Amino acid sequence: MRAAAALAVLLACALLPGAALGYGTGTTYASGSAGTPPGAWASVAAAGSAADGDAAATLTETDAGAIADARYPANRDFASDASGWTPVDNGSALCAVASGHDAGQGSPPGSLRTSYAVLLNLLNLLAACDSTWTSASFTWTGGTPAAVGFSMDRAVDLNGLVGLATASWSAHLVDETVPGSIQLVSGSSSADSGWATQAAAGLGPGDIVSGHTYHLRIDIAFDSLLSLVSGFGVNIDDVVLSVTPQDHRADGELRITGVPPGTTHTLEVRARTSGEPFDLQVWDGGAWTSRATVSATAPSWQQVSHGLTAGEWNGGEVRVRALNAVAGPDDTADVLSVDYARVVSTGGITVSGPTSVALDPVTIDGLSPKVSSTALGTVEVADAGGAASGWDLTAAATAWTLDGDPGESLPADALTVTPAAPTTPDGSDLTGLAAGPGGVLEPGDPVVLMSAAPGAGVGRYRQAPALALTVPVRARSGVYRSVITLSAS
Amino acid sequence: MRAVAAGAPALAAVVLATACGGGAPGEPAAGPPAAAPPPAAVPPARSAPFALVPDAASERVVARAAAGTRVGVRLRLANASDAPRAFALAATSPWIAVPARVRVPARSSVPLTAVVAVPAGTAPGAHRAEVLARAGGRPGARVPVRYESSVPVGVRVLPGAGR
Repeated sequence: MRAAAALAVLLACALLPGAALGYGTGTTYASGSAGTPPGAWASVAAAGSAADGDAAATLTETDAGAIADARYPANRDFASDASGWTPVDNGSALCAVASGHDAGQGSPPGSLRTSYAVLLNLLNLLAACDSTWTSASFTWTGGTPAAVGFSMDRAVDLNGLVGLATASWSAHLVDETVPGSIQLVSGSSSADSGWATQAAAGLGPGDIVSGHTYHLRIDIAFDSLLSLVSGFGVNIDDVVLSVTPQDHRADGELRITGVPPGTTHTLEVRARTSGEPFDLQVWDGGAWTSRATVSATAPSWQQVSHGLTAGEWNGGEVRVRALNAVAGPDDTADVLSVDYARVVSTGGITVSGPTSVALDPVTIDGLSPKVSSTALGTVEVADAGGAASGWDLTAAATAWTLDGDPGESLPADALTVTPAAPTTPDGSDLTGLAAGPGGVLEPGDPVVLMSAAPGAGVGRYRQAPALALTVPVRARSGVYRSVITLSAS
Repeated sequence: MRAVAAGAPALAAVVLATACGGGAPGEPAAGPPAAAPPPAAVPPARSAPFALVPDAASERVVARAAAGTRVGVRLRLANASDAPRAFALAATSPWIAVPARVRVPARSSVPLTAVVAVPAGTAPGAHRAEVLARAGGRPGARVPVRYESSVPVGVRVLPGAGR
């Protein structure tokens, strides 16, 4: 019982690729998808029919998030200097401000600092001064970003005084292309405040426009009613505007399963793209190989046809990969539309073998006929589609005519063929296979070289017949030609 | 001996085929034994498998047409070679027209149409024919070996228009 069960399992496995094709042509459509993300399939069933108009499965790119964010401006940590940043100090009669690089403050050391000093202020008037730092300009060209962020560190130094002076600051994103600005962060303090990070809230992809040029501006202001004090200041460090580009990609499979064995398997895909080209690859059991590029756009469709290798047939599960993975920012979700993906399998009986045969010259001595013998070579018959209807391998030959004198020919029975026992190169079942009787090869009367009984002959079978050409005593000398034709049906 | 050129020695040669590498059309015929070509040095090239089949899951195709009308039947030609190939097509009946030559990409099959035109006045009934695809036969070889694949085509002549 156990052996019977095991045999049943083996038979089931053997049938996995699908029912044998047998005769003619069979078509198998895509029935499943896999592989995403990136990208997302929709309406996969529409790729499983060529009779549904232009209804199509779609593979839409999604943001793969595979590109690191871009960071602006160029000098963000001020580790060695304040290059790229320009201060403008606005002093007054009662106070002075001075801005520059502070090599000692920051983490790691190095920051922007605006210092404040109150001059003689006998009347204790409000001594207000301010300063503006402007970064180098930068241009964003990466399309609509996926995300935008801003943060900076700041520290306030009011000499330990509390409530006697106020420092305030704000950071702005300034659009130079279409003038305007967005306040990123702001704050104020009337006491010392150590290093702290401030991040912008509410920034979104719409706040950066591809192709626009921007700079950052940091405003710092002080006011105090004191007189003759100095050493106040605000330090700024680690100023970062981060822009994360979108990275739309797609990498998805269509799977065509149950593709029967056959003589050939032709992958046919009708597809188009909304914009960017998609690469079509086929899995061969070990690797993907690019077989076509879909670049047609609506209203056109592109017809892809590719003859699958045995590996790409993949035991009956054909895997077709649609890939769009161009590196770089990409804010467009391109769409591949697949009207259908299918494999056309052909069955039938094939015969193959040598394309010529060589017969050694013979010398006529006028006394007796001469025989030139040779092997035809190995002829192979294959029933790859599993028709199992039985077949005959037959041979025929045209008359042997003399070069330069087509009216001169050897006798019709000059060429004979003697079949050998059938063999198989791959262990195909030889039951029901038999050598034919052979005989005289002549036009219009094919000779059976090998035959498979009905129900047999599924697989690969070989026949290596021997040829013998008898040259009569009275033959004219010269070169004689003939054409041998082999067929199996 | 028959038809040996006058004055030729009694010992003459009949060269039936050259070695694999020779044998182009127009090549001078070999004369006496000393001029015989060398024996084959390499095995002959092989023809890859191919098949002409119905473009449907059937063993044969049947065309149904009244006398004086024509109808197309769909076939498919498969090339199992790893290179594109051209095949010669023919039909055994003058009623059937097929492309004389069809090129098929590597490991692929292409559809083709055989047009069956039933002559006017043909009586209703069944007729049988074949469409053949041929390949192989090394060009220039003295004894080329070619291969055929065929599809049986049944033509059922219907009563009706055209009679």
